[in-house]
Amino acid sequence: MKELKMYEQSAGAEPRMLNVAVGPHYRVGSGLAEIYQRWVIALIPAIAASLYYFGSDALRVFGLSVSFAVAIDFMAEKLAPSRDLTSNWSSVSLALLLAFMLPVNAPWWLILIGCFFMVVVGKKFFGGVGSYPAQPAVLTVAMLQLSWPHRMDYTAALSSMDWTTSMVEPLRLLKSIGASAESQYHIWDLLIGQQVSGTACGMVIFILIGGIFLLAMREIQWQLPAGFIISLLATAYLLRTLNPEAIASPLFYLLSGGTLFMGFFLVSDHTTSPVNKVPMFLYGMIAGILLMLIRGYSKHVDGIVFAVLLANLCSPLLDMIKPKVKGANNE
Amino acid sequence: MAEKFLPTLTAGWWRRIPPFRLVLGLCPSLAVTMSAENGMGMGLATAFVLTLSNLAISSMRNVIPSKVRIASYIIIIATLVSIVEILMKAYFFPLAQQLGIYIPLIVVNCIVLGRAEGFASKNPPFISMVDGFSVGTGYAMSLTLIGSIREIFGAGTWFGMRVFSDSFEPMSFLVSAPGAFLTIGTLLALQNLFSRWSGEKFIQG
Repeated sequence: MKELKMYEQSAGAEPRMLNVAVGPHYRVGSGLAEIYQRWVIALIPAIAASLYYFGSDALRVFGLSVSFAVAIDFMAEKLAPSRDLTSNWSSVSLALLLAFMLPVNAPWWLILIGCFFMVVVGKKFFGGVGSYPAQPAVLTVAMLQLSWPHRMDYTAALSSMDWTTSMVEPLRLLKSIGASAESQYHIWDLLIGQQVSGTACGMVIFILIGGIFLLAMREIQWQLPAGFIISLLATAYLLRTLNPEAIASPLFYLLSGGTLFMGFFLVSDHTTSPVNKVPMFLYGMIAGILLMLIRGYSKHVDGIVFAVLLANLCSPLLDMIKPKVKGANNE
Repeated sequence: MAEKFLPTLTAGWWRRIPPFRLVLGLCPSLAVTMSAENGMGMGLATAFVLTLSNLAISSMRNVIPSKVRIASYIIIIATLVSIVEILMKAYFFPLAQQLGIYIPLIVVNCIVLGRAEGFASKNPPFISMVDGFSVGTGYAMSLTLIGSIREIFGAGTWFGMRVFSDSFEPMSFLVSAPGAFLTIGTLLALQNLFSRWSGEKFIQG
């Protein structure tokens, strides 16, 4: 951060000049790189759990997506210079978020096309970090699901695993046989991530640890995940009272698929979420309601992708809710 | 006249190429470019209408009262489009079936009206015809390019021929509607990037 350095006194300066500058006079001293490094640290518990469950398959998905994304980001910056640099770590964090939602057996070309789409179309075309209107990783997963639905099939990817739990995606079974599917799954299995899902987006408790880390570092505000979880549970409860045969209990929706991953990592992306506290809460609520409506009434199995994209589009509107400026004429 | 001939002829192929530089005529380029064949057919039909409409409007530019000029242009263009539609139904029936409503819709294509208003109403007939030909063929080339990209990567074929072996898995996203927006946007960005590299001044229209 070049412009912040001008407040620092160099060591060998002979006449000690007084700095006269307008406020604010304090600074935290962290840049974009540090923010995204914290996001990567927050993702580590779920990555570790995924490596424990899937071994080298998961390592291949994580390694390929991070290296492809960073290489493409670097080359795009060489060809068309912008202020968005590889060294700000955003492509590493985005590549990990993308890898979380890919199936374990994703072929290398799928990861390559996904990373290219995410970095070039999702991020660079709109001007890089701070400018994109929709979360690039989610945009990419939506594109991949529309193009190659059979390659993005989580159930087929894990058919060789030998777990004691039912080897079908919880939400897919729920959609096909109704609310009785809930009895096929144990809450504890869902919680520790023994459920059919993407490479790491179903590691519920480990995602939660990462999310609490982000909250503790003040990286995301509590309003956003709180609004998301409250509205999700409330909508699920309401839908269950209306239609008890097809809709499972609210807790089941909270623990299956990538629900918590969406609440802590996808909707809370700095660029696409609103700025102030009240809009953040409303934004979380919109995301939760949309997610439950998609899960309850559409043919999509796990609606996190489309719920995030639709909520992203509401974000500029929610940003119109601003606090009143003290002393100004607020009509 | 002679010194304007070459710049006008080449302008429509790069400097003024629709729909990238002259951002007009987006409706057909989004709707009918599912395959290279459709794109080329649509582009050639538009080029035919554009050349003849520019010629006709330019020849009549001194007798059309300026208050009713748009209505007169529409009548001239509609006549030419009807000719094209009947000809295509007679000689290229399968293509006419695939393009469907988009052939009659050439009447309201902004490029045709835009060139009539912007160029043909101010210039003599021959140079106007050259302009119409150049912009029209530029549009045909763009639509063929967009259609080729979408067909090759979205369906694995080019003008109906297979390009890849059986192990290729087509990216069906590109032949659906959002793929058209993505392709056009990417090509537009690439053209602007190329202009930036070569130091060309950005010219719109």
